[in-house]
Amino acid sequence: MVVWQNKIPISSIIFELVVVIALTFMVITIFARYFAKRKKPVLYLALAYLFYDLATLTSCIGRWLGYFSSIPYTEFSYTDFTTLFAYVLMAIANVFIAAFIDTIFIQKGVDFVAFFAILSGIIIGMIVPILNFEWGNMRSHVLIVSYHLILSILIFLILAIVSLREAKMNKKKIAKIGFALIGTYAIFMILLFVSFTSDSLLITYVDAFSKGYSPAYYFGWTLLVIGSIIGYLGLIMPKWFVKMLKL
Amino acid sequence: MAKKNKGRRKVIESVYIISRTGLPLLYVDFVSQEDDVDAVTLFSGIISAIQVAMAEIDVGVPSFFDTEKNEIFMNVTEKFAIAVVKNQEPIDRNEMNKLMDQIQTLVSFDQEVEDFSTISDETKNKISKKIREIVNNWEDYISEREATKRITESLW
Repeated sequence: MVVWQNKIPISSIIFELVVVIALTFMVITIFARYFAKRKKPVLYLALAYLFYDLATLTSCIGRWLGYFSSIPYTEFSYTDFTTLFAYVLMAIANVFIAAFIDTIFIQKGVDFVAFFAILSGIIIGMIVPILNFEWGNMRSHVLIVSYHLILSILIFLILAIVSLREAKMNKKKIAKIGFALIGTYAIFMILLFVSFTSDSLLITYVDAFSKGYSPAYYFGWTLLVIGSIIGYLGLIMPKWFVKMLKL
Repeated sequence: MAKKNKGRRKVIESVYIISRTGLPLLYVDFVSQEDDVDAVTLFSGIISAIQVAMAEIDVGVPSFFDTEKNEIFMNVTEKFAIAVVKNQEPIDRNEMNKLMDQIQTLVSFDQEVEDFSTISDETKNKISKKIREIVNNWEDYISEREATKRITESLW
């Protein structure tokens, strides 16, 4: 199997596939927790992860199609199309994260979630016309990626602040660790979005990376894998982990 | 007493410092942010009358009573009484006691408060500001613990 084909490295497909598997495991676990407890915050979290998972899957499928396609990327780029579509799915996921933050921490109600829904709607509004009318002629869209970065940082920064503050003020060991892990997970997510935006900027403006796939791309996915494990431990608190903490 | 509040609903609606004769010495409202002098005077008088009546019939001074809308917590000292009006949201009694003690300590140990009858408006404003700080910090603390409760019930 060749390392690069149609401007796509095989490593990117393998990397993204690993993340899809990890996220799918998390989605199943969170939905199982929802069906056991039937609480709104778990549903919001499960839907957020489902959309992140679908976004990663969409991106992975795009690279897979691009890698094995006989159509040269200069004629039609599957990856550019699916990457933009993945941003739509991530924008939806961010709204569910905002709903999760609201139901657990902030308790502001509809206003808080509506604010992020409107801002995320703008991303979707910017991407959908491109997907419809610029089929086959898509390039890196720095404005969209940057806007998505700012919005995602804002949402995860709120999650990081409220979780770490809760961890600091809490006296119970398990809760302290749980909230600290959720806060750390949020920081990893912020770094992930920074990495993806850096990748987008590097391949657009730096000649050395014009072929695509800067180190920031691989760094971003690595952050997502590590962040997902931390998030899993903090959000789900599996029994074996709680038992380990109690020792 | 409960009015619509922007953002997260406040648990504490108002704090009263009442003289042993039933006169309102200080009043801090967390819901409307406005002073209704008549209502404050009436409320202080009623609280004081209940305390005196209960003491008279030898059943002891009440430290708590509730109405359809609110719960009222009271601490009585030699010089003054504190009444804290909260909504019906269930809060651990120990947490309420902690708040009452903080307010009582603040008023008792304020060096400028020797005699409430001669207390200046400036000192009143200073104490009101400190009470606001104490209550707001307590609300934050309670809200944080609520987050732990919510995440434990739904996820962990």
